[in-house]
Amino acid sequence: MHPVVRRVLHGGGFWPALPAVAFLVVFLVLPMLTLLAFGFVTIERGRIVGDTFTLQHLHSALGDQLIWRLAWRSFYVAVISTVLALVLAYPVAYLFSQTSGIWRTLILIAVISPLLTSALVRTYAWLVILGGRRGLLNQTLLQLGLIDQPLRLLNTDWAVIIGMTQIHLPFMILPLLAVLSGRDRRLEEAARNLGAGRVRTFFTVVVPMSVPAIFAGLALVFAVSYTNFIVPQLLGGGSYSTLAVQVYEQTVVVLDWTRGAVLATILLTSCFVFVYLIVAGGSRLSRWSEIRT
Amino acid sequence: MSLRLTRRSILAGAGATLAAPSILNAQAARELVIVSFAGQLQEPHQWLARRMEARHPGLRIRLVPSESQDIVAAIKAAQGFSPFDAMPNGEPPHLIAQRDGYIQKLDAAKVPNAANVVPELMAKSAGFGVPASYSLIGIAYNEKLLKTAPKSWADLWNPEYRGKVAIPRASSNLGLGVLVIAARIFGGSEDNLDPGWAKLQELKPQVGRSPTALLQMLEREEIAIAPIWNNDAAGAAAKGLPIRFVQPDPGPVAIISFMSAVTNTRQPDLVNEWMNDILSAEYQQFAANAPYFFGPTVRGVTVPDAAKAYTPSSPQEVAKLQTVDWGKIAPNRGKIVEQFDRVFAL
Repeated sequence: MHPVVRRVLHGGGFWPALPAVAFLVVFLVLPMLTLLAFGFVTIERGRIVGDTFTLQHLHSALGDQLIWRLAWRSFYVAVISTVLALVLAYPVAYLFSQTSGIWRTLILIAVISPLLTSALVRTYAWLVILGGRRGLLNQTLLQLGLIDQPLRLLNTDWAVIIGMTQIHLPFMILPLLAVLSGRDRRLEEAARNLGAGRVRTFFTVVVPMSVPAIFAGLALVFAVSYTNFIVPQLLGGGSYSTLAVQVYEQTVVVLDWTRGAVLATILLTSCFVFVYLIVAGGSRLSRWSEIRT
Repeated sequence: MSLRLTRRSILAGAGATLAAPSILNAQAARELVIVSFAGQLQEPHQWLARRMEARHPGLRIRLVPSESQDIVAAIKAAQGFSPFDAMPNGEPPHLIAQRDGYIQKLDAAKVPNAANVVPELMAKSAGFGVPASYSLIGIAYNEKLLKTAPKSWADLWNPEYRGKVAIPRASSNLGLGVLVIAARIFGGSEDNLDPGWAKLQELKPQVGRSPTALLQMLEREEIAIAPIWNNDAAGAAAKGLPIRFVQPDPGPVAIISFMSAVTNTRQPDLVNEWMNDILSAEYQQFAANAPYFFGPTVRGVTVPDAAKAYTPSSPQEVAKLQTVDWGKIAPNRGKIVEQFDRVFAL
């Protein structure tokens, strides 16, 4: 047997990863590089015109107030949605770690089952819940006599934030669930034996142990919220736009691929920076949280 | 006779078995891929496709429901190897498709029914494709939620309707038509859209991302009144919803839909036959009827009684139709869409 084949079959070195790496290079890295490159040339009617590299399109986008304001909206909507996801996810993950048997299975199914349907379907479900006078929420509130006039819920920041939070919740719960359920319980017992109450034990022992999972969840949920375009499109309405929505609009609707690519570059780069900051912040706090047995 | 199974013979057999269906398909089946409308409005195309398939054994006509903008993006990305053979386009994308070379010129000799088309409509095709139908932009309203029915375009600004009005984004043909009509009735024109922008902003409307989204907002009672396509309003009314359509004064905006061959189609003869069938009296009558109400473009097709609320049938009604000089609007579509976001998305 050829030595390379033998190494592959025995799982040695880099070789077993080769198919996955090749797949990612061909179907992710190259398309992404092509997309980014489109922002630095001029494209008209589907073809590159001229042969010069230019920063003019990037300069023009960065000097546009519209783009900055849409980027700000993408950012704050993602931040609020990510923080809400953490607030909602932590109790679920903690409850999972404290239960066993059928309850544990039921919580896991409840967490994972939304991932079995597409985000589009889940966003449409929110349209039915929040939508107008005939929406489920307004119908219920009207029938209970809690409101006289239907609330305007769709086509607002809050509709987008609510939709994003729910849709991205599993990405926050799953890392927390893994860390909290695998934590070393002896540390909590030691804290209790040393006189700490339940609340103090939770905040000084359990939460610090879960810091790496918290930041993994924050990075994941922030990235998918910041770059999401389906939820703002459907729940934000036709006058609502974010940076990700603009990428779609410019590429598919206006057919200005250069502008679409420039905005995609800004979106991707800023997303990388924010995710890096979250991960770096997580590493710093994780050092503080490291509890050795 | 003994049969020896070796690894090589098994692999060869498996390969042949796997390849056989695709080889047979390539030999026997021909496929025509045609862009169509979504939902119920696709039914006239389905009806026509089944008739054509029956005439050509082995032919499969695949109808792809989509917005024309998505299709143009796909054709553009395909760089001359379009996955589609024919597509319908409203007047603005029809002009852009001509300019950018996505659709090809009509060979009228191969589409004999083109001789029956109303000459004024045929002239608008500029030699590309055939005028398949026309639709109207008017006002739809929920009669349960409004005390007074609107009569004119200016009624959209009636204080009674404040907070209940929605408009479409300017990226669709519907949105462009609404912008132009708003400009016109308040002193502007295709060359001066500023009065239209100002009045639409004053309306403080909700905005539907697409004509379909706008219709859904009307159905969910998020809004009570909106400019909308006659065909969409008819479809909603046919479902039993309390939605009525008005052809507002000084007149609804008429937009022609052209069916064109996509450049470098692999099936030019079949596409010509498809376009010829689109112009047949049978198809035109079918599409003009309930619940589709596509305006007929060929002479001699009568507007059915059921369509009279949605399609002009008298010479007076036809005379009221508003047309837009799309040659001035379509090339600026990108800038108009951007302006829309500057006005409404901030």
